Amino acid sequence: MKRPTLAGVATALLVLLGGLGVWSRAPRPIHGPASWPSPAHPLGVDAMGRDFLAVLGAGTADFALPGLAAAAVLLLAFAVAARWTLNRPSVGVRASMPAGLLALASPPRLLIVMVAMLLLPEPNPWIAAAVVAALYLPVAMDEVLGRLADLVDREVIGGLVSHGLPLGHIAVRHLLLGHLREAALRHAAALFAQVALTQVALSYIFGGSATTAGLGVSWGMEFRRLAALLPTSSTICPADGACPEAVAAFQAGCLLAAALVVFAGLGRLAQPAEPEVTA
Amino acid sequence: MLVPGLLFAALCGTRGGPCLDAYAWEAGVGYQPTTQRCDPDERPGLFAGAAFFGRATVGLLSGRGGRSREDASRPMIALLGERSVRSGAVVAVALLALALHAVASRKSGRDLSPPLGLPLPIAGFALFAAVVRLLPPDSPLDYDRAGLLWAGLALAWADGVGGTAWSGVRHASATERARTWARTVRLWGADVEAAVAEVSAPARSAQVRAAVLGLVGGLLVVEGIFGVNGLGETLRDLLVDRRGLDPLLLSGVLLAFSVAVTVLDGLPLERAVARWRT
Repeated sequence: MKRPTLAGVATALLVLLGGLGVWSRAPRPIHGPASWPSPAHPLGVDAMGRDFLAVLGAGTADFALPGLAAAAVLLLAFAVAARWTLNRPSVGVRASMPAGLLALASPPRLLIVMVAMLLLPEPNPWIAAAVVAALYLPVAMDEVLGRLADLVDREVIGGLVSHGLPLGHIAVRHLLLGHLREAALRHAAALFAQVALTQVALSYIFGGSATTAGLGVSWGMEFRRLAALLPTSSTICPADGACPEAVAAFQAGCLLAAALVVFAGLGRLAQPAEPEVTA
Repeated sequence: MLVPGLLFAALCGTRGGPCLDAYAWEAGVGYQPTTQRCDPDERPGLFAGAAFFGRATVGLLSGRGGRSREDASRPMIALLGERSVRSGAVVAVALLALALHAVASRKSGRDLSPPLGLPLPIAGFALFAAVVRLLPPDSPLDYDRAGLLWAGLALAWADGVGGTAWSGVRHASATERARTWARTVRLWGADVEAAVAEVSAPARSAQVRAAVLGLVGGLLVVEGIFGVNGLGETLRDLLVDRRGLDPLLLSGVLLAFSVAVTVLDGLPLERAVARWRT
């Protein structure tokens, strides 16, 4: 049996937690004290009386939705570039993006996003995701345009067109899901990770959820709350009932582990394959 | 200078908050705070914003930085200088940590970098919680005394800046190593690694530059967590306090960040990286 990879585990965790977050959206307070995991609450109840699994889910949806939107825009841009190339296979495409556009991608991402938020009446996660995508797009397009130009040079595109297949089919099936698949997946994962990291920082700075107004759930905010509750050397736990500090430590561990797995997995997905050296 | 100027002008043209009338220009000393108050919803306008930023920039660059409302007891240049030094120290600690990590990775012959780090607030608070709980309160490494050190370490660890840069640097070298010309050089018996380092220098220096810029952006989060009163914390306060923006301080901080980015762009990193074999 094939061993699950870190990237696979991270994707599964993202889908699971993000799906839970979208489905249950706002974690409703149970109005009970902090408690250890139980069948009703698999990760226990936090100090604010909320099911911690629902909190983790809502926090995931908070960064995953803008991240997915940005990745979808990126893939759409790749598809448009592929379709554009098919219209002019004999002419070819620009082998790279203009240097000016590439230079625009260099400023500190978080700084630009935060300053852009100042221009709006209130912080907007979708605009933040759009800014990150706009900063990232030239870099990704540079590689994809180079690969398309290479396919034109090697007459791969000319060959596909001469087979008489519908151009849309070639663009999606043969180029986006074929020759450009590795680059598309890698850049989509890298952009998703950049948007996610920005959203977590954004929601921490502005104190609450990035995507849902009034909902104070995000990974950064939750970790801040839990870190304040962690036990110290002077902590004395009650003999009966759950110790809130110990429960907070367990939940902080869960959040830390989820963050490590998700972002390490995204990192693996975003890493380019190592080229082989011939002797 | 154009980008922060445009951002400042756009801010004055699109929403209320910056009260330009709270400052008056005095020849020889620059902008000084006045007692004037503004309606928080009043928009100063695009041109007024551009003119204010231009004057503040010229003032700061010519030694007439004026005084900010935040701390009118000392000149703006001194205020910004002190905070820039603190932020610079945080970035320097982060760079030192990343450099030590790169050296350790090279010496061990393995890629020790994590593929991608934790989000900034999580990395920051995890380190903060560990420092508060593991170190005695009177320790010289307590977060109150050594905030710069811990903020720098959190910065190096967060957002996978180091990991991404390190894998990018190695990938750029590996790509060149796999090319036909490198095979030919190898067959001739020449030092292929020196040639790879030279040829991949532009790509690798771009990775290093992007990593340092990423660290500069991360200052907005880590400085707040470890109580470092630097440029990042100042900008964060300005961002959160959306109704009463201090226009002179905002101009100064934007200018300081753009100077940092410009200096970094101008550094001869390619030459330094060309001698670094990865």
